[in-house]
Amino acid sequence: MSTSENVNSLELLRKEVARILHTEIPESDVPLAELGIDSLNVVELLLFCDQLYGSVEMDRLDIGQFTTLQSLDEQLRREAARREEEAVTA
Amino acid sequence: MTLSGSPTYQGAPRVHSWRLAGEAIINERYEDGGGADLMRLYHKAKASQWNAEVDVDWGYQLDPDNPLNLHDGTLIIYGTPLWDHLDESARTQVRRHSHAWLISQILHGEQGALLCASRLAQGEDSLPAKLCAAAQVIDEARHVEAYSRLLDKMLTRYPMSRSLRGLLHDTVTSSELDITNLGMQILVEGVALAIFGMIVAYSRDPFVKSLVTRIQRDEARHFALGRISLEPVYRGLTDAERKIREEFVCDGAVALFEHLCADDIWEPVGLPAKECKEAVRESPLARALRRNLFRRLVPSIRDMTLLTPKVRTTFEQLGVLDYEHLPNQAVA
Repeated sequence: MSTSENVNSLELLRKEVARILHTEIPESDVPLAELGIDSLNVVELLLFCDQLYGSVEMDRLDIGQFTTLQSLDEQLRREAARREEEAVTA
Repeated sequence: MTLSGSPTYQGAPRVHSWRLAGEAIINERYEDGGGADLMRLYHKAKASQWNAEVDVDWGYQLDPDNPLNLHDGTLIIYGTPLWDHLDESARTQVRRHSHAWLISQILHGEQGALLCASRLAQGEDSLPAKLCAAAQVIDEARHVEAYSRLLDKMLTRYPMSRSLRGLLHDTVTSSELDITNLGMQILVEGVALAIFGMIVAYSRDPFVKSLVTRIQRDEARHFALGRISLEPVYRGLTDAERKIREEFVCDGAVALFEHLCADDIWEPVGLPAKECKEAVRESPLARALRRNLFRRLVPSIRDMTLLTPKVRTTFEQLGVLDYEHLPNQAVA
């Protein structure tokens, strides 16, 4: 993850979802399907994730309608760590 | 199909003439002087050149009613009651004018960037910074060529928005070279990257996507150049010098915020200008564009040690201060 170690990525993700959807900050365990994300704002969310976690390779993630924000954050952080490790060993 | 005949102008095209201040520097030291990162960017710039004349299929025809082939959700008036009450013919007019306005502003910004890069090439005293600026001049010339040709395919052309004109004037004419660098590479390139990101993400037209993606790569390099060259300079500022830069950032942030509202298009499309100006300031797209812009800008300003109490207050008023916790985007 290109962000500094002490950044709470889940908190930033929740806040940005609220901004994008113009709603209250959602709980971490709310499934994506219940957030009301449409085809337009999902693109903005991906652009945000790209900045927060580094380039997102969507096909490496396991995302479905029941995926929660917490699970999304965990997957993206794992993916970021994997990329960092790859970069170090390359 | 391509629209035939000469483009119409919303107001006669003007020639803006600004008197420049500053020095032209020839340095007889040709070592890179610790500018390894800048030299890497320079080499990358040379290796990444492309030719807008031959690498782009200019025979491609845009949809005249939706030239950038964007979803209506990317129109600044979308989601307001005004939009909801428009019939299809009026919506088509809004699409045509909005896209022409957007590309017109980008084109003017690119010409401003050409001037700024030329100034940096003249005034920088270190060789790596001078070479990077020189490489950027040809990048910007190519962008002017490309966007001008793209705009030829559209219905109309717009003059520079008042906000962009003010910001470009202050950026180009500053007697302080770092302010030219800051205004151009961070503020104006920042807004360009936000708009390009939106076009690439949402356009369904392969020609538009491909062209803007090419330009986006060049711009990301310029944005990185601004950060790499400015961060060490700004770490050593005196309080008085920092105050001038923070004023510039605050004024620039507000100007960009206003610029994105596209106030100039409502009269030409026959809509009530005052009502539209008010409605679009809080439209869903206006908020999204600002987020895209400031997500990039705020971390950069932070890393340049310019996130002073005054700048923080301005960002807080714009509702974007939270982005100080975001990482900066990777260097191109």
